[in-house]
Amino acid sequence: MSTGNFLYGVAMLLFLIGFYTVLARPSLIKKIIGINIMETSVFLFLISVGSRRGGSAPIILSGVKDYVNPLPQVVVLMAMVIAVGTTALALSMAVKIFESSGAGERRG
Amino acid sequence: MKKLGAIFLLSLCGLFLLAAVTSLPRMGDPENPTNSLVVPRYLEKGLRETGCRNTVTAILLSYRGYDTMMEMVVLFTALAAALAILGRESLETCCETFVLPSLLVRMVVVIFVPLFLAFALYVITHGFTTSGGGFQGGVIVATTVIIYTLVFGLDEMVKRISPGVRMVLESSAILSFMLVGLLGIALGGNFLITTTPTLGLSDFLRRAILLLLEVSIGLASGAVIISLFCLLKKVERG
Repeated sequence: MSTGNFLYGVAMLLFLIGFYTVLARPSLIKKIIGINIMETSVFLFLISVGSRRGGSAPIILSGVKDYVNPLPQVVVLMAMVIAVGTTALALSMAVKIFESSGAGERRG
Repeated sequence: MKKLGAIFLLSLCGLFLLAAVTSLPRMGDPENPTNSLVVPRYLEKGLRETGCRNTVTAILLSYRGYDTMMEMVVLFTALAAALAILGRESLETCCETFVLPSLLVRMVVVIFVPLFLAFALYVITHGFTTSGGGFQGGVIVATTVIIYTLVFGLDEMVKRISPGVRMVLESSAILSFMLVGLLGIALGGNFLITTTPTLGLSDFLRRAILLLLEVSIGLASGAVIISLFCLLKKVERG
């Protein structure tokens, strides 16, 4: 692995941390946090794929030649909004499960 | 035992990821396929075809308009499902004993909330020329309302932004996308082609249509996040 690719490695590590949280933690809230960590790692990966050395933000100005790739930014923007929706849905399901199975049982 | 299985699965997954990551091309290289195939088209023609200096907004509202519309549908559906599970908050449960924080905290929030909202308006309406746009501004609106709720209580917020108002705002983005899309058909093109220059609308009109979409996306995403916060906050008092 070349040194320039360390962000890919960070994304991979974050993904594994989130995956471990989902698999090994019994608490539902922590599983949801794990899913969020996995999502964040995917955002980081997509943004770093679209980067370009010496490029500026994709706002067209005269005199600027190199821009970073705007497409991953759009995709990540959308994925973030959807992550909010899915997280809220998962949390409300968790609340319902706590209510119906006796509060405090699966805390921690 | 369970942890051992998890670690085994994880190391398997990690091996595959490591193999993939090490064979990726160097990050930030201008010769990468991500930087040389689709994107020059957007960067070269985006300004002329959509009138947006910010290429992200141009792609979001014009080139990938279907995507944005369906994303609003996804957000709306997530809210609808969460509401079906937990139900909307109601004003009848007003008898909570909410302790107001100190005067200092209240005054700071009262002074800063209008400034935050003005900033949100700036971010939404200047999404064409600077970094920003509907989603970002909507999230700023939602955050401001959440700060207000944490300081003054849920009932005070629900009195000001009633569920009826939010119900209209939540659907506004999908409705305005439908409206703009059907306008494209009425003018003799395809669905959602309204903002492209092929229809021959004036620059001012195209700009106004994009602004309508941007503002409605901002209001809708803000209202959806506020509603999701409210229905989870409601749980706190049972």
